[in-house]
Amino acid sequence: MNHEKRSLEFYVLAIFFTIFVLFLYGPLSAIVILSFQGPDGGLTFPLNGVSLHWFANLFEKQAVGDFGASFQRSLILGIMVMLVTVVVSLLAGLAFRRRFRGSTFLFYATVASLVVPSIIISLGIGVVFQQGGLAPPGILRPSARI
Amino acid sequence: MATIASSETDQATAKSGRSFRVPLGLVSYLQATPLFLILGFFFLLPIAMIGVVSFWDYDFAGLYPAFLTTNYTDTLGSWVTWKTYLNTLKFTVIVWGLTLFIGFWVAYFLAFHIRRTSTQMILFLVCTVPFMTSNIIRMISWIPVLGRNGLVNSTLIELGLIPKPIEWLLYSDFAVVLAMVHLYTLFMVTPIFNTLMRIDRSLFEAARDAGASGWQVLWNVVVPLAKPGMAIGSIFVVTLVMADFSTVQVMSGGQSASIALMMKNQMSLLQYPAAAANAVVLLVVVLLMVAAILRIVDIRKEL
Repeated sequence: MNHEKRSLEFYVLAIFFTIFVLFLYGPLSAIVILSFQGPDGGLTFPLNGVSLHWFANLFEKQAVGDFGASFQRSLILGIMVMLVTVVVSLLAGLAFRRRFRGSTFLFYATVASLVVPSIIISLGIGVVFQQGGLAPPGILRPSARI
Repeated sequence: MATIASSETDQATAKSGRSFRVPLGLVSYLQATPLFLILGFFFLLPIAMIGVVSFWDYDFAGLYPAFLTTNYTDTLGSWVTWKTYLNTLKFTVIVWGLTLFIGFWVAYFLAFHIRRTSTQMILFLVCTVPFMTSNIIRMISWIPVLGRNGLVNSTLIELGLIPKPIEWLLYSDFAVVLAMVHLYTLFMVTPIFNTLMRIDRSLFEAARDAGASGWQVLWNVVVPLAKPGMAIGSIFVVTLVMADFSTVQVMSGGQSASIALMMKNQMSLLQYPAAAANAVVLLVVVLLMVAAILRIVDIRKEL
């Protein structure tokens, strides 16, 4: 069975799959290559010299935000979200081993939360926070914007 | 399920003599409480709040509780909204069709043509890795490829196929669709791959023995059994594209619009009630589309 001859279908689909993988990785590799662009180059090919200029640039003081602080914030945020998600999902998974009143509702609410567009949820959370007086300074507060 | 539950009950009663235990019935509730609170405060309450706020009055200084229907009549009465919905639906249909086609054949190749499980898993991971970077990075990575002096244009000019750069490659509807297919195909591949892997291979032999041709096997055996996976993938892709604003904004260069982008603009102008009315309409449309998919295909055994 494992030694039967490959059919034409296999080769056609293998080519299709290869093109799909190239389509996935092509643009990403372009970005990786362009990150080694020389100091005078921009976001276009061909490369204008090879350098680590733009990587060094990341760690210098910049006009648009501070790389170190942003990276740290992302990392902390990621760890916080990971911890909460793992704990909550594990507990909920344990709970779902048995039927309990409201388990069906909770399950469908979980599935529905995947389907409802995130921009709607974020708008809703923003409005809830604003109406609850929880808005942090500068965000969602008309006086700060105008 | 029943036997597991009963053996746990036995253990519980056996142990209860020695140490204090929370009653079993209560344990499930305690375990489900965090999820329930999160969904309550960050899912159900926000949606309810959007429903309420969509009837409120507003001006540049704040929101005023009221019961107005003007937010809805303004939204539904303007031809801009209808045009934007039409545009979003156009993107949804094109992207859905393309991702379904690509996703099905990629999953089909992985499931039926790769014989070794280890190779299968490696190739599947190869497809998954790009999806671990953020959407924004994957979107921006198209710019040096599609741009006016980008890879595609410069290669085509080099080869002498075109005299001057093609203008519609970047910042166009084409770019939006391309980026969306790039971003969302995995959401189609994974569920279809899962359902295909569960198909009993002896069905193919049975179909072949009964005289079915290759296409007949595909159409009468594989496709019907893969439908639940296709439905789940379709739900993901449709809801993601319907609610997309960043791809449309970045890849169309502001020349195309989507409902979510319109909402985002209203939000940045602090017109929350208008955005909320829009959100309610969008939510209803998305849920109707999901309901339509679920009516056609029963996915309950997949959940």
